[in-house]
Amino acid sequence: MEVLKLENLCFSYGSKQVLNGVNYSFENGKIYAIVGKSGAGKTTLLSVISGLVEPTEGTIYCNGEDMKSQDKYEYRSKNIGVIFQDFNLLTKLTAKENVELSMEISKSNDKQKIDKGEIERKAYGILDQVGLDRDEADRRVLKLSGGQQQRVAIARALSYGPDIILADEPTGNLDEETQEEIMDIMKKLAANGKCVIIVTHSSYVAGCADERIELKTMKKSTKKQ
Amino acid sequence: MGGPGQQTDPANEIYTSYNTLKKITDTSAAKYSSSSTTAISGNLNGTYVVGTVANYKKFKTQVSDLGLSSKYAVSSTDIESYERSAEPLENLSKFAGYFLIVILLVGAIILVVMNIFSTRERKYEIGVLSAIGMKKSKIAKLFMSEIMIIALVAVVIGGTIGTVASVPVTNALLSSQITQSQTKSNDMQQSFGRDNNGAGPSQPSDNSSSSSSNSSGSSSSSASGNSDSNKGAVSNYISSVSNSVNIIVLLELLGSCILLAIIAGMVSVISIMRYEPLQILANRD
Repeated sequence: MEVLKLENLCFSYGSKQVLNGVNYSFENGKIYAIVGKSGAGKTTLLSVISGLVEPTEGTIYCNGEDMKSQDKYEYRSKNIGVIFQDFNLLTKLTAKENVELSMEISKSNDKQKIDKGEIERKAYGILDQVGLDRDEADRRVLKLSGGQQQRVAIARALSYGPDIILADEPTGNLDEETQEEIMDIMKKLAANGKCVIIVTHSSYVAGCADERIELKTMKKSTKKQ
Repeated sequence: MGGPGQQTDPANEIYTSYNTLKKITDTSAAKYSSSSTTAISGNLNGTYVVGTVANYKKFKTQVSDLGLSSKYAVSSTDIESYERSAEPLENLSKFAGYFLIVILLVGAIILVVMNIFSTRERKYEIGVLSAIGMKKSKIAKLFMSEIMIIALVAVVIGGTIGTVASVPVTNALLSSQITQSQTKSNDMQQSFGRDNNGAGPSQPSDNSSSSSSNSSGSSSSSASGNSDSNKGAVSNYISSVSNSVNIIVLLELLGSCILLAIIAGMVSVISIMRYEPLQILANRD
């Protein structure tokens, strides 16, 4: 089922055109790898899809609804889960608090009642899903390894149950073993019906994807089963 | 009581009743021209007990409204004496007022500058919160609440220290003010034989609550011997206070603190509203 559709998407930094009429449809239950040379606009495309910047032209439909008609903060805290390249976690907080905060923001934007106990239980549960035990969940983010921080970032993106997960180089700073572990989590997410869009340079990550999209041409190549 | 005669030398003064004085001056005025120096002039004093400062002020207004001649002066030796005794305290109060204005201005500038730096330091946090969906208005509220909490804690700590320290500090400053006033008064006396209030050597004050009207008659000289003796009673300065912080002062402190916090907080709010999460996260280094 189509969850995200890009229609004639354009973006430019001043006079420099970065995205020029991108059209694409993303379905749930699949992993998409966006590849391309440096400067091709991969991260820019991710920023536009995540609502961090507005496209100069074109439309993004999320679950059939035009993104422009939605509040961008609600969109970011409800429909899309972003895993940033540098994790972008709040380092003064623990892993669990980072996940809790994200859930609280989502609930608050949705004007839902915040039940601290329930949020805490869910946060531990999600962190457990990505392979972090209670002891690690209660540690400050700075005291966790790069791989563990990446797991926290994934847990945070998953915390409010978005349909679409966007990941910018999620294995960029990790060793091979951890890369495989992270990609296993991504595969599980896709198997659970999420649409996972990954921007990557890694041929290993691109190889794990169901669809590989070359950004310059937006040419689609489907993984041979 | 009234008395005609030479005013500058008490030995030449004659004290008599109002009716006698009136009769003498009326007869003299009828016989001689009122502008003539040979006419006998009178100096009429009346003493009224009014009880309170408010009554004194009311009395002063009333007699003026009823047409008291400008040749008469209404004065209270008690109030004048009190005002002179409170002079060091008033000076201290004025000094504290100016000092407070300077402190508030400098404090506001420091607070705004510190807040600018603090908001810049927390730019990354703002970027992350905004990127994961927290509305800028909520981030601004969060920052404002933090500033308010800090301000309230500061008021509690400052208020407590101020309440405890204000009395000894005020008394110490007051003592130095009194020494200064006494030195000034002594210098004036040594130089001119009278202090800057126009009083002669110090004499004990008459503590009765009263008002008096002095008539200078046709003479331009209005100061009576009695009045002079009271002006001399300056040495009894208020030398200590028992309480200098009350609920009004604490409320003023709270108000000033909240005002400063709002001014400083607005700087954060403006910065937060201008920040773009992507730019912050992209320029993280």
